[in-house]
Amino acid sequence: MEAIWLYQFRLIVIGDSTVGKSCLIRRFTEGRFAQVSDPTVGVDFFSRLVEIEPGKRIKLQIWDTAGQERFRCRSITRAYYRNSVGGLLLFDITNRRSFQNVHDWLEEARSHVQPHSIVFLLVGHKCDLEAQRQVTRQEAEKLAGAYGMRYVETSARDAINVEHAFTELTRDIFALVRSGDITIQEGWEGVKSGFVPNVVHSSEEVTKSDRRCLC
Amino acid sequence: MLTLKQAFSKAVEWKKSNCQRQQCDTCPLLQFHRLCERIEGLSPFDTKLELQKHSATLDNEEQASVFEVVMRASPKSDKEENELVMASLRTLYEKKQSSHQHSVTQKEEICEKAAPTALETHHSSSQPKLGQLKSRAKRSLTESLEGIWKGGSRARAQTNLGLRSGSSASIDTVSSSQEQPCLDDPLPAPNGPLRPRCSTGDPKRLDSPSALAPPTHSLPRQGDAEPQGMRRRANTFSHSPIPPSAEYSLGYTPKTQKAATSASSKLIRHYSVSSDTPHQSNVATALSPLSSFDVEESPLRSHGHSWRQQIFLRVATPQKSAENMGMYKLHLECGNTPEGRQAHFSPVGFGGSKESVPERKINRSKDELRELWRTAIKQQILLQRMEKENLKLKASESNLQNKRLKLDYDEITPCLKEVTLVWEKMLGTPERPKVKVDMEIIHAALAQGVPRQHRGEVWKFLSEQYLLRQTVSTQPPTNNTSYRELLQQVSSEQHAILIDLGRTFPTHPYFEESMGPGQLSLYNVLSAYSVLDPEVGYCQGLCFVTGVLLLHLEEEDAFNMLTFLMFDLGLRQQYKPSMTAVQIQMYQLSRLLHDYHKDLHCHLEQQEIAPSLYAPPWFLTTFASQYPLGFVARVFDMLFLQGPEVIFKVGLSLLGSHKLLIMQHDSLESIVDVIKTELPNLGLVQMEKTVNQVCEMDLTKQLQAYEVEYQVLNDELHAPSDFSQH
Repeated sequence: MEAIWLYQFRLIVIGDSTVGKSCLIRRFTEGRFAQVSDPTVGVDFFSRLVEIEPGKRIKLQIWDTAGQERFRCRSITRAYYRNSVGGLLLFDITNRRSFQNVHDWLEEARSHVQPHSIVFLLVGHKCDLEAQRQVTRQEAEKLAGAYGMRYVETSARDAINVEHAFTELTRDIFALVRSGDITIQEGWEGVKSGFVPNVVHSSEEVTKSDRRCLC
Repeated sequence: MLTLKQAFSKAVEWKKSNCQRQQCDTCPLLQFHRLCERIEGLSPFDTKLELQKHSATLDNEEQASVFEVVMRASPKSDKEENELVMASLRTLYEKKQSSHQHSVTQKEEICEKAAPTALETHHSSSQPKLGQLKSRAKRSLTESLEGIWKGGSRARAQTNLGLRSGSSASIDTVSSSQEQPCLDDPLPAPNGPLRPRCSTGDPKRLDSPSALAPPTHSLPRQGDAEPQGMRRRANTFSHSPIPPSAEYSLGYTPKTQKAATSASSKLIRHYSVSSDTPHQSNVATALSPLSSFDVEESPLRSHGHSWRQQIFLRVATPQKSAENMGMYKLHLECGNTPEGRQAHFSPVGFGGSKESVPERKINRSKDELRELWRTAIKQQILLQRMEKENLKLKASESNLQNKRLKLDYDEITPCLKEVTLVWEKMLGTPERPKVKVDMEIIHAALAQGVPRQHRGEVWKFLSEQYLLRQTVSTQPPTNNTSYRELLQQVSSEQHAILIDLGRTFPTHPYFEESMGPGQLSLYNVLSAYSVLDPEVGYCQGLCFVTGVLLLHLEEEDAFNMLTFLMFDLGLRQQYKPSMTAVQIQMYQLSRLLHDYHKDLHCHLEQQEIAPSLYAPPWFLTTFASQYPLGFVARVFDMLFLQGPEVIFKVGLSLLGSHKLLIMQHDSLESIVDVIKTELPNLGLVQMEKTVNQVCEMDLTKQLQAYEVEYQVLNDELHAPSDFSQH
């Protein structure tokens, strides 16, 4: 029971269908690349610990959402926006359309997240497929800058930048939590403290839920 | 076409080389032949140039005569002029040839001597070789015929006018005299393929190839299939084997022409009949020349030739065996007809023999031809039927394989023999779609299992029963568009469907092959459905429902059953873009848990685990994306019988039976993990238990009540906020 986390951050991963959301999460949480995966019908979630500084561990609870538009219209995934502190917005660098939809995704997230806000990281996925690239790094960085996001290019297949992407986002959120820009709030799942028993969760529950993260 | 051409030119070359060996180079008609060869295929203008060049080699008198003829006719075009020139040149050369004399008798002796030699050599060979030789002989005949037809086509270039201007009698005379060089040939006859070709003592052998040959030539040159021109030109060109004595050269009378014409036109007709269907006549081994030939050629067919090429290959000859052919023919000649050598004439040159003989032969050959072609066609029809049957057999085999492949899952509630018989009896009901079967029987049978191999049919049967009991039709906006028509329409959801093809049962052998039969059918059904129901279009999850149907039903049936599920059973509600129905379902499931398994409900609530975390795939894929196929198939059985509330029952039953397991865990992650990954892998016994429970459950009232609840709550919840937003 040594792996006690400082905070739990809930992250949401969004983006068009087939940009590789589930694959990226699985690479990060399970360390493997799934050649074939079912389409995400509804939501899935995964979790993993990240050490941002020696001895400082953050538990990430990562929510995977369906890419198809109708699944994010109000019904199924909506609640998960509201309860997230951070998000990875994925597009596929070999699919220009998925890049063009980034704006829509941000708009949607913003409308659902109110009054909270989400720290987003823009992720250009499938960077192993350089030959089929349709979105340049420059334009992606420009877009990310316009929305105040960082930009990272990843590949779940070749395990490029996957750790980096999640760790960077976690560090950014951690800095905001530390600075007090983000605070733990009752009835909000975005950030939870691992040490201080909050009103909703007992310390016992906290340690118990840790058990799974060790697996 | 190219192949044909090459074969033509080869045949001609071959012929040419032989001709040259056997004819004297100074023969005027040979010169004429060479001229013909030179202008073959040239444009009228080039032909004109060539003819002018040639005319320059003539002496003044000859030139003048030719010029005169041409001037008199005052041709309107180059083509016409060329024709005139050729005609007059021909007359000229014919005249010349008649004065061109050779010593004949001496050479004949040589031929006669040579023949028995060949016969002897042949006799030493074994009997089986005979058949081979036969077919080769036939080929060579065919080939010579080819040459003739080739000549015929050249005659076209030369024009009909020219041909008409020369009287047939003169042509015959000349052509026969042209044969003289043949007999000058110093080579022994057996080695000269040309000579053996003359061995037409056996009319059967003569006729069969001639029956085969014309199609080949008339095919690429249908435009110039004017029989007269062809034959006449052919006469000039390939009558070389005809012995020089005037006696033998009288045959080309109008009468024989007529007969030949009718024969060849018949051939063309025969050909057109058989061309409707690719030639496949290696059936018969009996009918000697034709069939033996076919058998030998059959391997060629397998190289992916077009049917035209196939026909050609049946007729055309590999050049290698020329010598053997020659030997065989000689054998025929000497063995069958003592006067065979005298009866030298090429297959089409019916006139190459005594006047009385050709007529008899033509009559016989006509009958023979008919008979041969009749048999050949019959054989082909038979063979095609066999091939069709073979294909059917193969298809049914692969169907069987597919079926085995598709249905390769562990059955939940394996069906006992008695129950299978009950199902078979119900499925076999006469006028089935119109006969109501006692629901009690159906329910009882279903509870005891459904035989895998009949499952698709059982679903169809259940849908029929459902529709029989429906008072109000909930059929789709029925514009009566057939599945085929729907398939032809472009779906706006194509992309969305395509990206899910590889993600639907990605490890199932039937679906794993990228764009294999499984994925293709999946695409077809989903695409057709999205056209039929534009409001729903395509929604993720539908691919699994369709996939399960496709594992048990043919494509179109699967589509019909999908339509039934969506419209008649109302599944389409949950796939609509708003997905409101799914929200209602989540609420209903939550309420059911609350009512039936309060402790579990509380436990889940504590962890803030709402059904939307785990249940959407249950509803949207009918458990198919997570649960083993045998279980899913049982869910489908019950779905067809009881409608969509089966999903609630199964879900509630699963959660209820594993209450303790779930309640051992008290974190969101672990509980959801149990529900999502442990429950689907609990084993057959547990599955069967669940299915049995479901068969006994009835939630209709509750579900209706909860739906109303949801609507009320929703209105209450949204009314103020909506108001404040405005």
